[in-house]
Amino acid sequence: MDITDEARSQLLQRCAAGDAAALRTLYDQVAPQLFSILLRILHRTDLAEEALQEVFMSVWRNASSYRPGRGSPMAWLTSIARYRALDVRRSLRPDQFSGDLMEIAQETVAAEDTDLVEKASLTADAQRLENCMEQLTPQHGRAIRLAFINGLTHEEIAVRIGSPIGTVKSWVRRGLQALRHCLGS
Amino acid sequence: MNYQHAELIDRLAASYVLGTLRGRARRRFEKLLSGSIPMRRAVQGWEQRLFWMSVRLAPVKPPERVWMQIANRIGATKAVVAAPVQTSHLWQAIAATVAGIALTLGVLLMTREPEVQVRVQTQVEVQPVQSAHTAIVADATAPIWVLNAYPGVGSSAAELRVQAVREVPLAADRAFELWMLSDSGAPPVSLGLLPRNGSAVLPLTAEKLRVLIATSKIAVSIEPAGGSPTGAPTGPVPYVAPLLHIA
Repeated sequence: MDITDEARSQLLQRCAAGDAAALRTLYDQVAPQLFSILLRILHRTDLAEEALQEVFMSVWRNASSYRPGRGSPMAWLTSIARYRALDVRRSLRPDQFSGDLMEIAQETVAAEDTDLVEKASLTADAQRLENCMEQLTPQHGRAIRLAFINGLTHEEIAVRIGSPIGTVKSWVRRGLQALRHCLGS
Repeated sequence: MNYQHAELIDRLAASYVLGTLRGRARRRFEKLLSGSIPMRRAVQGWEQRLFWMSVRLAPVKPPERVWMQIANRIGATKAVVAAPVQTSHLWQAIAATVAGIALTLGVLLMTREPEVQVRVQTQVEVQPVQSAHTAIVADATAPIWVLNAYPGVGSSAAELRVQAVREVPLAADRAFELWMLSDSGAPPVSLGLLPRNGSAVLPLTAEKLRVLIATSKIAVSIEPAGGSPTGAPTGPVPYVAPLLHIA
């Protein structure tokens, strides 16, 4: 854990004790990052705002279940946000979601490579993952990013890339194995 | 399927974290997750490995209304939610510069160190008596009850005011009973039955008020209509919430 992790871990402990000011401080620090994650998966600002609200309610209620030993607070917060966004996506009827599969897939084309922070400005840990991602074959890496960043299912990735779903599944599986190998345990 | 198999667990955990495990398989995995340490450990490992991918996304500042709704729901600050724009600017300015501000339901801002109280005048009407003990009982989606304890002033007795925000389904022959949970292992103390809808005032005896001031958690149990026959919770406990002591 670095200093930022340490500070955020303490903020979570204060949230667990019912300290609303700690939640606000945490919100100021991480809400923009989490909002960006939610927007990528949900596309719609209203859905992302609602999800962000739920994420922080969940943080407020479950702060006591965060254990510093289980890793970085940001990994914990990111997971809460992503799982929430995936749940929202799953619960929406197709007509509530902007467009059909093909449209969604096309929308994400633009989002795939834009608005990324320069690799050089990343922390050492983030660069380590980036380096491992770069060692994957382009298809494996792209399929994994579309799943993780854009929240796409195997089927949606298949439509987006124009490859059979079985191929996509195998890319994702092999990509994850390679990442695990590259990053170690 | 043998979920104990380490490699299979790891593969499922990876798909779960990545998000490609969907539908019934995802829900089944989630159910098993709470009861399996190896599965939780595998999931945490993947969360830790993959979350770095999202730090490359450029941050997007959410509109201030999102925080206002959160603040409203956790009961942190009526002033921030209800007051005009200037107040929220004021709040932002203070939050940015002063560490550890406790904001009560009204307009009393207190810095933790040094021990100086700062009263900030706003257009929000000041409540003559402020509740210093407050709780929101909620499920995973939204608040159900808002509780505020008022210590008695002069000849008026102490009371707990409860507002049901929405009605949750419950069998007709059952009731929700509110309890104070002790940190030291003492048995829960009943505060009375919660209203299904609307509001209610639960009287607080001097003894109950004394316990309440030292209580950090409350719980709601499902009891026969009329309340627990034994004086202790007898049914399931669907809700637990922190009791906040402000100021």
